[in-house]
Formats: sequence, structure tokens, C-alpha cells
Amino acid sequence: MIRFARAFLHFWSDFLIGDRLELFVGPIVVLLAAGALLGAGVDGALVGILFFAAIGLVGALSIGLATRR
Amino acid sequence: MARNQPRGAFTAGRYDGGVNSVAVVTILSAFLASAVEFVEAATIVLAVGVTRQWRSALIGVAAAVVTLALLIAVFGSALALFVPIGTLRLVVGAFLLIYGLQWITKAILRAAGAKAKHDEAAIFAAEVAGLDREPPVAATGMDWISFTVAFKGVLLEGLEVAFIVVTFGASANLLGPAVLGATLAGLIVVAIAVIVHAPLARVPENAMKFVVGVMLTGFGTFWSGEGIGIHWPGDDLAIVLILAGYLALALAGVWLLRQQARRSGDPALAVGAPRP
Repeated sequence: MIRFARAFLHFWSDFLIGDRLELFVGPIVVLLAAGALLGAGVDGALVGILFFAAIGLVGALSIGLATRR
Repeated sequence: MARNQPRGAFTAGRYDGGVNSVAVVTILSAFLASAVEFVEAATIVLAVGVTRQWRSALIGVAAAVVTLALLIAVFGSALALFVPIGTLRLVVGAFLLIYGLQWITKAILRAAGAKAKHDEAAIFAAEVAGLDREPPVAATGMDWISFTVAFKGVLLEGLEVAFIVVTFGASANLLGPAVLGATLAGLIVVAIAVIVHAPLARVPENAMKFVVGVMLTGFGTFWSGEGIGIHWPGDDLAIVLILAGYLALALAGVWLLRQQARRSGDPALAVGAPRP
């Protein structure tokens, strides 16, 4: 049972995270930050634009890291 | 569906079943993503069939397809029926965003030559070499090695298809268009594999992954953004702008990587040659 649970967790971590942790953590951090901005009353459209830009930055950061590995 | 809405529109977060640009994009996304995965699965099945036993391999394929269909039907319907649309879009959108970013960043690195491209012929040769080391096929009855390798290959590759189909289906009631796209891709890849009877090495997998990566990231951004309460300027039209924006960023990324390689004198990056 424990082996099955471990294999199950390993499969999903490999499926969603793989060897690029920043691509898993980055979007979650960006979502949390966008949620916080909305909660603070920042305009929704502006948050949308910032959200798009931040996701683009996460992708660029990951590519930068990959080319240095 | 609101009475004053045209058929095919998103209304209160749900797709009404008509033909619109979002449905077309969903069919295209599911088609391209599925085609890439089906090509990879076809390579494994072909290797098993050629080196061991076709009958057991095809039974393995059928078992995997039935398992995947059940997963899509159960999870697709359950998510759409029982999870509130806001929560669903946030969670599913976040998953699509993460998954799409993985696809697009890998595709950018491959397009710029910083990462080796997928080579179906090499994968086929490796599979055949691995299968040659297994015990010989029994003269009669089922060959469980053929069954297991084919089942596992199709199931694992197909899970990615199922993931995309279920997430699209659940987020906007687009299960039908998503299943249609995946089914079309499966039929076309299988038909070509049967005709060619060799690894489908000439399929432009990287270009397809590039497009799918942009689409998954775009839809993931839109849906997860809606999930946390972002009101996108232009409502559903924002999807088109987001997709165009990510496509432009991705192309710019490839161009910048190639320029950087030229300046640093790295020949692999400069000419776009594959690098392991």
C-alpha cells in the first residue's frame, strides 16, 4: 500500500513538476500575488495585465535557468 | 444559455454547445496535443509489434484505450457536475498553466537548439533494443511482455491526452470538442502508422508542441485568472489576445536565444542544431 502511494505520488510529481520546479512554484506564486492584489482593491484589468506579464517572466526565468544548467 | 446570446458563446462560464472560436481552438489544442502523444505511443506499440507479438500488443492497446475512455468519462463528468465553476477554473487553469509552461519552454529550447529534439527513430531503436533483451515470445497464447509494454506506453502517453481533454472539458463544458479533437488525432495517427508501418519520425512534433504549449498556457492564464476574480478586458476576446501575446513572447524567446548563441559563439545554439 505504501509502495503504491509512493509510486502514485512519484508519478504525479514527475507529471506536474518534473525537473523544472520553478515552473510549478512560479505560477502558484503569481496566482497568490494576483489574488492579493485583487483583495487589496487593485483594478481587475490591471491585475490581468500584470498576471500575463508575470507568467511570461516565469517562463523567461525558467529558460534562463535551463540554458545555464 | 442567455436568450440574447449567440449560439456557441460562453455564458456564465459554460459553453453552450454551438460552434465558436473557443470550441475550434479547443478542438485544435486537443488534436495537436493528442497527435503528439499518439505518435509517441505508436512508436512504442510498433516496436513491440515488430519485435514480439502483434496480437498481445494490440490487446494491450485496446485495454489502455478503454481505461483512458473510462477515466475521461468519469473525471470529466464528475468535475463538471460536482465542482463549482469558479473553483474548477482556478485549479484546472493553474494545472494547465503549469503544464503549458513546461511544454512551451521545452519547445522554445528545442527550437533554439538548446535541447535535443524528439527523435522517434532513435526512440524506436532503443525500444527494439530493450525488447530484444527480454525472454523469447511463447509459441502459443498471450505474450504478457508485449501486452504490458503496449498497455503501459499507451496509458502513460494517453494520460497526458486525458488530462488535457478533461481539463478543457471540465472548465468550460467543452468535453465534446476536446474528445472530438483527440479522437480525430488518434484516428489519423493510427491510419498513418498502419500505412507507413515505421516510426512517424517526420511528424513536426516540436512545432506542434510549440503551438499546444502556447494554447495551454493561454487558456490556463485565462481560466485561472477568472478563478481568482480577474475581469479580463474584452471578456472572452481576451483569450485571443493572451494567445497572441504568448505566441509573440515565445517567438521572441527563440530569436533571443539564437542571437545570444551567435554572440557567444555556441555553434549548437547558433545553427539550431540539436544538443543532448
